[in-house]
Amino acid sequence: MKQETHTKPVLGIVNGGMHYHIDSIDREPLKGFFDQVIYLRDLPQFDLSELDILILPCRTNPHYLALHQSQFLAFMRRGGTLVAMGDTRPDMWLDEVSYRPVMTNFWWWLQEGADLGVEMSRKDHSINRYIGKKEATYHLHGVFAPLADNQQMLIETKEGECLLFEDTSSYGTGRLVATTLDPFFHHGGFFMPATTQFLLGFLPWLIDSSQPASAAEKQEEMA
Amino acid sequence: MERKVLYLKNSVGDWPAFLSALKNCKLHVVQQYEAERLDWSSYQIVIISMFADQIHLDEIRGKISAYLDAGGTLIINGHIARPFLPELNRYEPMPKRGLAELVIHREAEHPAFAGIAVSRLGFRKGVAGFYGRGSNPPPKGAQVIYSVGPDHVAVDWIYERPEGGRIFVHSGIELWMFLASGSDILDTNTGDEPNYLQQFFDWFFSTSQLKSEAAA
Repeated sequence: MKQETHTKPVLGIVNGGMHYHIDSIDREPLKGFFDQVIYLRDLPQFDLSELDILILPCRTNPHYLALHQSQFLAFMRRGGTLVAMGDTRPDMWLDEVSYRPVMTNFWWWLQEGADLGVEMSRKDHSINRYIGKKEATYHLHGVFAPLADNQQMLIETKEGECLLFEDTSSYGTGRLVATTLDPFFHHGGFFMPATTQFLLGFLPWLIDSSQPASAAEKQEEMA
Repeated sequence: MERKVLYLKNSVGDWPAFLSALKNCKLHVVQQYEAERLDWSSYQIVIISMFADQIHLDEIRGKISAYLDAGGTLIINGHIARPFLPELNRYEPMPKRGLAELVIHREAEHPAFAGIAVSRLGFRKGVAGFYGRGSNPPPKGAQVIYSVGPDHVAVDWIYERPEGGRIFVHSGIELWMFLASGSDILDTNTGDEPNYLQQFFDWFFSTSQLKSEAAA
């Protein structure tokens, strides 16, 4: 059988072995999104150039992510999209990222008509076709502050502080997407349906907004 | 024999919330991947957090079983996604139900939970679902302490292994948040009440069957 030319970006996800990782990764409805699953402790031996997108799901132990700083930087510089989800603390392993925790209010929604105040920052950005205020609203753990010049804020708090940014300039042809929101934690814990809806929009956005760099390279090599 | 707890941590930051308030025991907190080289034989209790890497626990299942065989107590929080011991089964979430149906039931009186109102566990500010929303199905012969929902699926259970040792399982987020007083997170800021967290640990210490070298 002739192998099809790969045009869809290859999406990989790290599995930190937490139950909310395993239950996000190998159960429906997200299961089909992940082309490669890399166990955290197998990362040193894994060739990230096989991937176009690498997701570090919520609360992967940052002590161990920090060991892979060079690998992640090289991956982005080759054109890859690195996605650091909530509490993976990229501030601990990327120089340009700053983070500040905020007090989590789990109860804001009990008041009728209450609004947590999460806003989409740039109405003209492609992410808005996939997720909006409703999917991004559940609770907050922290903000990226201060933001570096290249970090383009896409989701923010009501005070205008960053909950999700994209940086398409600092890492060669690659991209860093970082968020303080922790939807894998709650989706994988079977709690908070908004987080499932967030991921069902966020993952397609990552795919649609990524160039299949690894495929392009491979084609070039073959030519 | 000195009272000692080993907590396997798999996150950043200091000691786990609330446990530093425990009295009359030594709490040793280690990053999970460092646990294998340590000698567990002097700890009456070993705690697995909801953040644990269960793939790694599966790799060190021999060490965990040996600890239990020696009379140890393993306390597990969280959902089981990778059954790392023969006594564990994969978590089963409840079918989607209204929050009002996520009622917690007391299935057995247990001294570790003496005096705790079920409502304390089941509701926070009138909202249900924090304590448990499904079950790590227990092995045959386990004692179910709390269950959830119309089908009464087991949330908390304790199992005395025929080979020795015992396993306590809470099929949900860290149990301490519900036992400790003054938790702003879950609004257990009720002030003047018994120390349920201490009571829970005191019971496990007082009934420990640990056969350690020190005791031999």
